[in-house]
Amino acid sequence: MSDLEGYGKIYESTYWGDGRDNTIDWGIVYKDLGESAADLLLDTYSGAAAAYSLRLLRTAYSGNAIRVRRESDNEEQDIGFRAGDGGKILDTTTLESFCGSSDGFVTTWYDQSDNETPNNATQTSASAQNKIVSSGTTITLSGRPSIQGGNGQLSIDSIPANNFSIIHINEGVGFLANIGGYIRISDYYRYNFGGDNYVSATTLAPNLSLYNGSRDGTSLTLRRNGSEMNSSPFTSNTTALGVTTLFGQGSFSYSGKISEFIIYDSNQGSNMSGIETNINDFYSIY
Amino acid sequence: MYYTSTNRSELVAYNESVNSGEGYNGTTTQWAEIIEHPNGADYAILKHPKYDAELTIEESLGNDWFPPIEE
Repeated sequence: MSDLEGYGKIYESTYWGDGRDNTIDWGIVYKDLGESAADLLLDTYSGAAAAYSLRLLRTAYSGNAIRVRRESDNEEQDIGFRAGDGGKILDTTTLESFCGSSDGFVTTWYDQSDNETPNNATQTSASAQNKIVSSGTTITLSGRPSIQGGNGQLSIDSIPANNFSIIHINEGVGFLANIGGYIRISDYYRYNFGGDNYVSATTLAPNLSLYNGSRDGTSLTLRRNGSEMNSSPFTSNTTALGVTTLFGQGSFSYSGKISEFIIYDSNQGSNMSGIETNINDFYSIY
Repeated sequence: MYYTSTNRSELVAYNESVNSGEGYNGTTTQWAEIIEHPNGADYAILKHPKYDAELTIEESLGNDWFPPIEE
């Protein structure tokens, strides 16, 4: 390849032969692993207030994806990323090796944002931790690792914001998150900030979807799979967003799967198409 | 299944017995949160499949334990 061809890409190299006599049986094969550093979501669309995913979102992020407790003996281990198709993905090899034939539960979903103090999502009660490995096999959604809700919620420090964009990839219905009120997916997609202060759009789609709710000024726009569903004046704009839990609201747990949940404390309006494309390229949602 | 009691300390003791037996460490600190009924007088805790106690057991908790979220 040329000097600049493939700059920034992630490659896997393979050597063969012993190379001791410069014979023809020695060489290097580069296998393009499919995603350049520039393709990582938060490299291009930075500034997230919090970002939870089972894929690497930012080149400079050197932490782990999740912390997992295995059911067999309650030991815990951090699980990071490995090169795979489409970039750096959850290290399911290490994850499944750690869990053996046991179930594995997420105790912590690490925040990949570049905030000085990470806002990690945690659940300290064993009975309320959601599953990511079932009898030794990683749970998936659209062929990618995903977390199966239903046991309880992950808590984070409150993220207040007047304007925002929240993007999430999930499958299933129920109360998805506590935002002061709630985000709910059922026969409608709704952001409720308490009482009559809500905006919703009709959806009959419990299947895998990329959702986005964004507020700018006095309107809130709801999108699903790259298309606008509804945009409404939001008369109670003084009601600030306040995200505090994922996988449920109050005593209600979200029983579906969530693969990625990203919160911006500013409206990403002009960036939204690019954000959605980046996510869809990886998850093949629509 | 859930254990219920009007004496919260009984459920705290059950939780601690599970914690001790399971040896949670790291991020995990306990088996379960104790649930308080909206009436303020009744409490419940999820039963661990491996640990029994001489407490009132319920197959599930009724809706009265979980006030609906305002729609």
